[in-house]
Amino acid sequence: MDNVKRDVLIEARDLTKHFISKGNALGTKKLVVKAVNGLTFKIMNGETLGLVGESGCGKSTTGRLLIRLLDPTSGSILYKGQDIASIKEKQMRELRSELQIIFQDPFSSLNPRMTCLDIIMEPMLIHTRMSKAERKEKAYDLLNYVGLPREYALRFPHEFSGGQRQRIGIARALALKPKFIVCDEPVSALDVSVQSQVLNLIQQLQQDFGLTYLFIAHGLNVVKYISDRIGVMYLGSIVEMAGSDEVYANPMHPYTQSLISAIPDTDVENKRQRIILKGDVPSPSNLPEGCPFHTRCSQCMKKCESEKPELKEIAPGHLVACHLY
Amino acid sequence: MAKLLEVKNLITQFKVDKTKIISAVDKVSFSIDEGETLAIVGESGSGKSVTALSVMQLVPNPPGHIEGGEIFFQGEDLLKMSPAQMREVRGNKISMIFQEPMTSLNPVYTIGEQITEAIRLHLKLSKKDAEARAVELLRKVEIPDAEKRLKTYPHQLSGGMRQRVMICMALSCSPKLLIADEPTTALDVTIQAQILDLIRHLRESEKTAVMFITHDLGVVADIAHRAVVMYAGNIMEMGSVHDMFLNPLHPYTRGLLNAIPKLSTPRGEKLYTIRGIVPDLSNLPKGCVFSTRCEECMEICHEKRPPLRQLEDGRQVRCFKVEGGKVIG
Repeated sequence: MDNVKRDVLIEARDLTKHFISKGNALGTKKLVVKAVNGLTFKIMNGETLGLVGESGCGKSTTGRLLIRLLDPTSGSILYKGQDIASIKEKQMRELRSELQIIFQDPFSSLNPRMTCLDIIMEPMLIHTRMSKAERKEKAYDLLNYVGLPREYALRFPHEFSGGQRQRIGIARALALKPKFIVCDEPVSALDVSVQSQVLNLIQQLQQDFGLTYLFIAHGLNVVKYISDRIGVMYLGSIVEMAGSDEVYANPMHPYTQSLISAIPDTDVENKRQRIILKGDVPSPSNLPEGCPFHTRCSQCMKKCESEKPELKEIAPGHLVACHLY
Repeated sequence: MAKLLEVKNLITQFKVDKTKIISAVDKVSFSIDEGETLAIVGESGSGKSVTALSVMQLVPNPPGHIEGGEIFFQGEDLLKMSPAQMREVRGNKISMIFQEPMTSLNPVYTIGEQITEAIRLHLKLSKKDAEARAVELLRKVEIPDAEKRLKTYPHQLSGGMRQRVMICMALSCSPKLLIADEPTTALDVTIQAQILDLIRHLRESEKTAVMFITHDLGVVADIAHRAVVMYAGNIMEMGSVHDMFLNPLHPYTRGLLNAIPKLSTPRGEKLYTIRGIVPDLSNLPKGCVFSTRCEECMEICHEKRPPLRQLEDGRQVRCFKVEGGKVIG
């Protein structure tokens, strides 16, 4: 898979999203939360790009921007060469069937008043001209594919376990034969024994349907396992991006280094040295000047406090945004 | 080393409706030595949190109650104590930190008021002395600007800071035993590393024993000396973390360890899965509770519940397939 030259499926160029909360009568101030700040990256056809970072780093916002569940503040998103960042909602609707998402929380992302079958059939009702019988047949096929017994079709979401609900969410995302799926922390809410079942399913889908994934997670061992390439985000910026083995074997950015050293691993024979970061992530409504990481970085230099480092390629396919390199 | 806490045949039940009673914790026995860290691992519904709440006698009643067993703490049975005696122990000799630091702090009181409450109650200090002690504790949990922080409210702090405040409150009376119920589950990895480091540091300086409840085996490998693996209210395996992780004997422990992608797992390799889902506690299999999901299940496993057997190296395993420290057949 790795050596084949592939086409770009989706590309972000200088993508930015700022959320603005207006002040209210109680005297709260107007705040601008800079969730995503100038992201540029490409995802190839059939590839899995992993996005890791801590909560509030903008990884979920990025996922939602790519499929236009959120409108970007500036920048462009090229899907198969077409800029979808600024097209009208009506044109966008035609593309929606190709761009899907699997959500983190299988409890709140399924309508509690719809049966499992209706949930899977709904996208086909909206986006296709299939007859009811056809939709039903397709829904049963999907149920079977994601490993849920036929008898469960008329049950409601509360009757399912977390892992089963996540399977319903996956079947719904597959209903329209998508090309690109944003997996937004799909296994974070699941128990260990169920997590591996869902991960295997997600990988199987990619092989069977030639899907392209943006896989968002904070569990780093999961991301490494599933991704071809990994982008590490911090405060709305990508600080490092490389092939997944390369990121773990040879992390360059001080943030990536500490993030990887902090992964709790079950290998009791091979204890690693931890790099423990000081302090907390600064608020995205009050970004530090210069490098976003300089307030917690152990190798911070004078330059880092004033100048934001660019994301540069320092080895083939290995991009880092740090003044050290 | 002396045993600090000894739980014997603990049974905690919950009434689900008028006729149905389930045992969330079913005849669980274990002990914690002074200064030791014991991890209790399991998936949701395995009874790990209920075990901790039973020790603290904080099981919501109704619907729950402790049906049987003994919980010896420093030689005294906590279950035989009056509510007033128990209040002397709780928050003083045994204290607890919870998973969600936002919901376990009171949003309308300042951090200072909340920390000094327990200090004044148990140590009978004046307000001024209690505040001085609070500042000292906040410094100990590495919170910057400790004096200023006393006047802040929980919403003004980040998740990691709130968990530090919780730990600070739990340590305020120098407890002998700290029960930590998934203290890092809601936190990011780098903050989790900070908190684990803090707990490790404190248990060394304060000689506190820790009962650490988690579902994350990576965290267990990081912090605990010994671990108890629970499944459907039963202990399946217990032993030193090092031995157990290197050579897991119970099929469930082995399954859990294999199901997590390790950093060395190659991409695209199929992950090991434990088939099926956790059984309903009101409808457990007749034999071994794990029999419905076990790949190595034998006929006897469907018929009889295997006993928890002690092996030579001190490990305990509940499986018919394990004999003399080896998996047979």
